[in-house]
Amino acid sequence: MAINSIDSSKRTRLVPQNFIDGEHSYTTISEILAGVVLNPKPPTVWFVATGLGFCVLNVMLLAVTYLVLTGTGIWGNNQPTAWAWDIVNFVWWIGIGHAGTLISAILLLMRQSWRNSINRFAEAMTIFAVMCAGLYPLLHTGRPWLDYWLFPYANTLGMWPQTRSPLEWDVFAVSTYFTISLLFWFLGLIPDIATLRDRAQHPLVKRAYALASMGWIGSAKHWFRYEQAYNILAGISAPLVLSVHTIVSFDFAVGIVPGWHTTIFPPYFVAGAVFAGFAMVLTFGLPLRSIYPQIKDFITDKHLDWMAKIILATGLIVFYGYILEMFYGWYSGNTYELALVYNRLFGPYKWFYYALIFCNGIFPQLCWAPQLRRNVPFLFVLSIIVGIGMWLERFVIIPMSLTRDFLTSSWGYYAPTEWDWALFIGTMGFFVFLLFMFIKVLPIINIFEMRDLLMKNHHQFGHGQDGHENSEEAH
Amino acid sequence: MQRDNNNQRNARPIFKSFGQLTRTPEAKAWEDDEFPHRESLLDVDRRDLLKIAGASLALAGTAGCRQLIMPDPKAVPFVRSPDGRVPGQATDFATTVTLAGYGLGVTVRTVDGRPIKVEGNPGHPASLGSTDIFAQADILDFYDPDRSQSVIHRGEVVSFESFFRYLDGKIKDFRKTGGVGLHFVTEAKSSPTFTRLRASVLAAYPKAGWTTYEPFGRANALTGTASAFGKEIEIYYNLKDVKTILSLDSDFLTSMPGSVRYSLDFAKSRRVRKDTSSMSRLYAIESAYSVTGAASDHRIAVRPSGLETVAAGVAAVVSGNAPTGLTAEQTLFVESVVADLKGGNAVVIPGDHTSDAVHHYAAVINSAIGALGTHVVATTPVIGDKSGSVADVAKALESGAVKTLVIVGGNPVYNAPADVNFGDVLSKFTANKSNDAIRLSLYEDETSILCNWHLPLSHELESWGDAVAYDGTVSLSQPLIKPLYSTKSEIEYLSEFLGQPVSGENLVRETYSAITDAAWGQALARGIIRQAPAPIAFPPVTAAPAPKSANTTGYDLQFRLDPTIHDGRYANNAWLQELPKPVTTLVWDNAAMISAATAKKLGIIAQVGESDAVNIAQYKGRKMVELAVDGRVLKVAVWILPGQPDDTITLALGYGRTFGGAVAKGRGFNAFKVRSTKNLYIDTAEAKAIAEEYELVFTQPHHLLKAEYVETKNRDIVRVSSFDEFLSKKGEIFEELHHGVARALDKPHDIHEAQSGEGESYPADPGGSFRYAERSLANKENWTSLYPEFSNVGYNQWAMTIDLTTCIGCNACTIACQAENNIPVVGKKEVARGREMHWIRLDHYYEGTDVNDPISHFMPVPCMQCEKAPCEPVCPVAATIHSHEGLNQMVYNRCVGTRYCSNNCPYKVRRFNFFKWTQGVGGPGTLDYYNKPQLKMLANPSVSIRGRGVMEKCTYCVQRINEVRIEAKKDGREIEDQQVRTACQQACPTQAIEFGDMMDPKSRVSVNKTQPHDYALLSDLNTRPRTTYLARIRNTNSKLEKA
Repeated sequence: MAINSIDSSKRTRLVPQNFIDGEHSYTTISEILAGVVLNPKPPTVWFVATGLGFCVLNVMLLAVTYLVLTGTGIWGNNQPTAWAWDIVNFVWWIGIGHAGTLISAILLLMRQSWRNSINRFAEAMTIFAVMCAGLYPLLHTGRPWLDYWLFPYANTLGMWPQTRSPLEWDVFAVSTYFTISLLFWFLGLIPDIATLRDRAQHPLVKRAYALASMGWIGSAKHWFRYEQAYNILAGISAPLVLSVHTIVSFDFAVGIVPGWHTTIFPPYFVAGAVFAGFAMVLTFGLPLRSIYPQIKDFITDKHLDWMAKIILATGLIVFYGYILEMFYGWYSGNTYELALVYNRLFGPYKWFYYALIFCNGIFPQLCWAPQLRRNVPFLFVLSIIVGIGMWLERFVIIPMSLTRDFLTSSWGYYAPTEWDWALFIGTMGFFVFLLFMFIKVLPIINIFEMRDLLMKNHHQFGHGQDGHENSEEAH
Repeated sequence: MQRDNNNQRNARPIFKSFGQLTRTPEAKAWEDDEFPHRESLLDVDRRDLLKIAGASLALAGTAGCRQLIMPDPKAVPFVRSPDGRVPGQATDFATTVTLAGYGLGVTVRTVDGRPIKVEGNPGHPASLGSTDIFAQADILDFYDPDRSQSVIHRGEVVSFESFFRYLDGKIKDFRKTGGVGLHFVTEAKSSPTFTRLRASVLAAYPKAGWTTYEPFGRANALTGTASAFGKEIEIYYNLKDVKTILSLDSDFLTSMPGSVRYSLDFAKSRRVRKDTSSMSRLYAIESAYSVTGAASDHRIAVRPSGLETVAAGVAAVVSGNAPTGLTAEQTLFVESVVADLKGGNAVVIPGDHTSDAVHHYAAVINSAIGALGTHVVATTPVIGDKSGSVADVAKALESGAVKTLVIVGGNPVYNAPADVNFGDVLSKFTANKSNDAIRLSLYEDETSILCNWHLPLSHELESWGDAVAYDGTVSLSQPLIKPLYSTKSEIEYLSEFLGQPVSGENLVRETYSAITDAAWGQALARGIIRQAPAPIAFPPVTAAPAPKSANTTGYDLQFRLDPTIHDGRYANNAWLQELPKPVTTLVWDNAAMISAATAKKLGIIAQVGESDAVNIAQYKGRKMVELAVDGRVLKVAVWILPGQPDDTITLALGYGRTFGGAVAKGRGFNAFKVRSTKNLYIDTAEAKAIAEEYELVFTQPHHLLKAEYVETKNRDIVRVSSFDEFLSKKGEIFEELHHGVARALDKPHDIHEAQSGEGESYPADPGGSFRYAERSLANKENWTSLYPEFSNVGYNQWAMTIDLTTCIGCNACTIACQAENNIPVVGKKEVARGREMHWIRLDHYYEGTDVNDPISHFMPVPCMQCEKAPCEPVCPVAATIHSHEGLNQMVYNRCVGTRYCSNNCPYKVRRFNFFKWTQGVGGPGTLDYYNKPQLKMLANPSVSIRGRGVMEKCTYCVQRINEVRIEAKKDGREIEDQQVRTACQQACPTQAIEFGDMMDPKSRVSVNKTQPHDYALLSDLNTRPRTTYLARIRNTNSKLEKA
C-alpha cells in the first residue's frame, strides 16, 4: 500500500495521539458504523430531523417556483442593492463547504490521520452545501432559464461567455469544485459501500450497494489503484480549497464598489470559509454524536479540541482581516473608503457590523481555554455563533457596501422580504434533509479508514487483541 | 389626417318619409333597428334556417370588408402611397397642446399613422423646439386606457344617437325660449374657434349663461393689471438679454404660461463659456421652494402673507423711499436687489397666484426700472372669457334658474372651492328629473358621475382645434390619428348644440375663412396660423395700495399647483405620477411642506437639526398633521423642506382624486377640500400633529453637500463656483481637483484653434478628416488605464455635455426619455423599494449648512457611456459591450440578469426589470403594454419593450443615431452636428444638454468639452465618461454672500 510504503518512523511523529477511544476491534468498528446505516429502525430523532428537513425543503421548492414564475422582484434586492441575500447566501454556503475539502484533501496530504473520522460527513456536507450554494447564482439571475449561457457551449450565434467577468470564473470554480468533491467523496465511499453490500441482508439493498460498489472486492490491485486515484484527487482538490473561495472573493474584489475593491479578500475569504466550515462540522457533528452515541469513540473529544483550535486560528486570521480593512480604509485617506469605515461603524447597519465583530472576532477567543474546547455545549454555541458571524460578514460586505457607494444621491436601503427568508431557510431544510438521508444510506464515518487507523494505533500504542494479519477479515 | 364627421347631419331637413320628418316613435324605432322587419327565429322554417346558416357561413369571410359595405369614409389604406412615404418611417406633424388654455406649439412624431412622441415646434414662440413635462406626457394621456370611451346616461352606456335625439328636443325648446335655463361651465379656453362658437351659441340662445372656471388660472394677474393700469392686460415677459430678474414668488421657469420660452431665454442669459463676459442674475423672494427658487442666485423665504410687505418694500426702495416693516436681512436683500434692478435690463416677475397688490407692486417696479414695454410685454387677455364664478353657478343650480347645465371639460366637483359644495349642489340638481347636467370630458370623473349625461371628449391629439400661446400667437391643432374611440371634440359638441353639426376641421377652417387654402395648408404644416399681435402700450401705472401686513399668528396655508400633475388634470398620467417632484423627489403623493422649525413647533421633530428630509437616514414620513380651515379639516402627511418659510404650510393641488381612472384614484391628499372662494391661494389654518402614519415615497435621500460628516464631503459631485471667480480666473477654476499629469483639454483646444487657422494640426490621413484624428476628450485627466485602448478612428464618437449652470431641474428630460424609450412605470410600492426605472434622473443636492437657507443643485444623470466602463468587463455573457462609436451598449436579448453591471456602475444609472414591469405588475396604474391595446400603440417601435429579468439603461437614444446614420449613409455623407438629437436634449427647455460627435472639433459638444469648467463626474475612477458636466456657475452678489 502506498501509505504503508512511507517510512513509519516519520508517521509516528505525525500521529502522536490515539484518535479512537474505547476498546475496539475491526469487527466492532464495522458493526457500529455499518449498523448506523443497516439498522432497520433508525432512532426517532432521525425521523424528526428528516421530516423537518423535508418540510422545510418544500418551503424552498415553493420559494423557487414562485421566484421563477414572477421574478427576482420578490426579494428585497433593489437599486443600488442589486445583490443582497442571494449572493450573501451563496458565499455563505460555499464557505461552509470548504471544511470538507480541507479535511479530506489537505489534511490527507498532510497525513493528519485524525481527519479519518470526520472527513466522510464533512465531505458530504461540502457537496450538499455546494448544492445549496449553487442554487443561488442560478436563481438570482433575472432569467434563470437562460443560465446555460454562462457555460461555454458551441452555438450557432458564435457567442461565448465573457471570460473577463469574475462571475464566469465562478462558473468554472464552483462547477469544478462540485465535480471534484463529488468524485472524491464517491471514490472514498467505494470500499465502505462494498462493506455495506457484504453486510446487507435485504436482497434489494444488497443489490443497490453492489451496483454502487462498482465491483469492489478488496483485492490488492483494487487497493493499489484506489490509493493512487484517491491521492491524485486529493492533489487536485487541495488547490481548490484555496481557489474556489479566492475566485468567489474576486466577485467583489474585482468590482469597484468601496468595501469590495480590496486585495485582502482572497486570503481572508479562504480563512473565513475554513472558519465557517469547521463551525458547520461541529454544528452537525455534535448532534450526531448524541444521536448515535456509539460513534463517540470515533469522533472523540480530541477531535473537538483540534477543530476548536482550527476555528480559533482561522478566526484570528479573519479578525485580522477585519482590522486591516478598517485600517486600509482610514490609511487610504480616500473619501469613499473613509465613508465606508464611517458607514460600517455609524451607518444604519452598524449593529450588523458590531455583531459581526463579536461573533467572529471576540467570541471565538474563548477557545484559548482548553476546558472550553472540549465542552460540547460550548462548542455547539460557538459553532452557531460562528455560522451567524460568517453570514453577517457577507452581509456587511455585499449589501451594506452597495447601499452607499459613490454618488450620495443613489444611496439606498436594503431590507429582505419574506421570500428571501423562505429561500434561505428552505436551503437549510434541503441541507438537513440531504444530510440525514445520507446518514441513513451511507456510513457517516469512514469504516475502512477507521480500521486502518486502529491498525496504526496498534502499531503505535501496542494494545488491542487483533493483529495486523486480521485486518482484511471484515471483507 | 383628415376625417369626416360620421354623424354629419345637414341643417336643412331632408326626409324620406313623413314618419322621419315628424319623428314619430315608430319611425325612430324603425331607423334604429339594424335589421328592420326581421322575423323572429321562431318564424323561420327548417329550410330558411339552413339557408341563413349557409349564407352566414359563406358571408363570414366578408366581415373584413366592413369599409366596403359600411360607410367609413376616408379611413381606407393607401391605394397609392404618397410620395416619399416609407412604411415604418416616422413623420412629424405640427400641432398644439394646451395647458389651462394656453397653447404650446409642438410637433408630434407619428409612425405608420400612430402618434408616439411629442416634441417642441421650433417655429412656435412658446416652444422654440423645447417642451415641458406636460407636453411630453400628453401622449400617454392620449393613449390612456382609462379615458372615457362612450356616452353614459344615468349610469348606462347608450349610443350617441340617443344623446342627439335628446339634444334635438332640447334645441327646439331652447330656440323657443332663447335658451332660458341653459348654462355652460367651461374650463379656460383660448381657442379662437371655441370663442367663436361660444359667441354663436350665446347669440342663438341669448338667455343662456356661460361661466369659465379655472381652479388655478391667471385671474390674479389680470385683476392685478386692472388695479395697476386701469384695465385688464395679459402680461408676458421677454427675458432676452435680461440682466437681473426678481421673482416675486413666481415659478416662471416651470409653471407659468410661456415657461418653456422663459426657461430658454433665461438659460441663454446665463450660459457661461470661456469667453462669456456677462451673466444674468436671478433673485427670488419665495413663500415655497420652487424650481425657480432653486435656480436663483439669491433667495429669501417669506411667508405668503408677508409677501406684499416685501414687494412693497422693493417698490419703496426703487422709488428712493425707505422700506417699512422689513427685517434687517430682508432690507439688505431688497437693497441689493434694487441696486441691480436699477442697473438696467431688469424685470420683476410676480407669481400668477400672488395677490393683486403684489402684481400692482411689480407693475410699479417694472415701470420705475423701465422694464415695461421691453422685458414686460402687454397683450390682450389670452383666455377670452373669464366671466362668472363657480359659486354663482352653484347658486343658480340651487335656485332653479338653471335647468340644463353643460360642463365642458374641467372638473368642478373635484376642484371647485370647498365652500361652494359643488358636488352636493350638483347631485341635488340632477336628482330632480326635470334637470339635466351634461358633461363633456376626457375621463369619467367626479363631476361626470354626478351628471346624468356624460359625453366622451376627444383628446387634443386626435381632434381639430386651435389655441393661443402666452404671447398671443395662434396655432392650430390637427388630429394625428382618427379618434381612438367614438368621441368628439369640444368645438364639435358646441356645433351640435347649435343644431348645426359641422366637422372639427371645417369649424376651425371657418374661423380662418379669410385665409387662402394655400396659406391654410402652410399654416397646418407650420402649426402657426397667426403670429403674435403687436404688443399693446401700457397705460400709466397708478399708485399702489398699502400692503396688507403679514399674519403673525397661526399658520399660512398656501395652495400651489403640483409640479407634476398640475391641478389634478394629469392625475391619471402614470408617467407624471412617478416623476420625482423637483427638490423633494417625492412621487405618487403630495404632502404638506413645512420648515424644520415649524415641524419642531408642531412637535413632529425634537430638534431642527434632525430634519428628516435633510438626514440621509431613510425618511419615515409617517407623521401627519390635521389642518383646519374655517371648520374644514384635512389630514395630510408632512414633508420637512429646507428653505420653506416658517409657519407656512404649502399644499399642492391635484391629489386626493376619488374617481377618474385607476392611476388618479386615492392618491395623496385633496387640498381642494380646504380651499375657499375667498382665499384661493393663501389662507390661514390651524394645524396640529396627529399620530397617524402615512408612507411618503421619494427617489433620493437628501443631505447637505457640505455637511460636516465624513460621508458626504470631498465627493466632487457637483462643482459650483461664482461667476466672479470664473471671470477672475479666466475659467480655470477647480484646477486643484485635477490630479492628472496634464489636462487633456489643452490638447484638443490647441488642435481646435490650429484647425480653424491653418488646418494642419491633424495627422496626414486619407481625406484629411477629423474622423482620423486620435484624440479623446473623455480622458480629461490624461491618465493611462489598465484596460486596452481601442482605436475609434473612422467612426463618430458620441458624447454629451450637461450644463449644470442652466439646468433648472424641470424634469422634462426624464419624461422625454420615458416617452422615447418605452420606460415602464413601477408604482409607488416599488419606488419605495428603490426600483424606479428612469434612465435619466435628476439628482438634487442641497449646499450650505443652514437648513433654512440652502442652495440647490440639480444634476441630470444619464448613463455616462464610460470609455472604460466598469459594467462591461463584469458581465459574464457579454450583454453589455462597447460600440465603435463609443456607446456602452446594452443587449437586452443577451442579458440573463446577473445585475453585476449595476453593482459595478459608480453612477448607478442601470435599471433592472425585477418584474414584468411592462405588463403592469407594479400595481394599479402601472402601464400594461401587453394587455392594453391602446398602450401597445403608445410604444416607440424603434425601441424594444424590455421583458422581465433584464437590465436596461440610457443608450444615448441609439435608435435616433441609427435613423440619422442610415440616411447619411444613403446620401454618402457625414452626419452633421445637431442632426442626431437625443430625446432629453430635444426636450430640454434650457438646452442644458448637448449631444454630438466629440471628434468633430466644431460640434457643439466638442466646444463644450473644451470649456475650462467642463468636468467628468467621479473622474478619479478613470472611467472616462463620455457624458461630462459644465460646472455650475452662480452669479452671486458679493453683498449678499454669507461668510
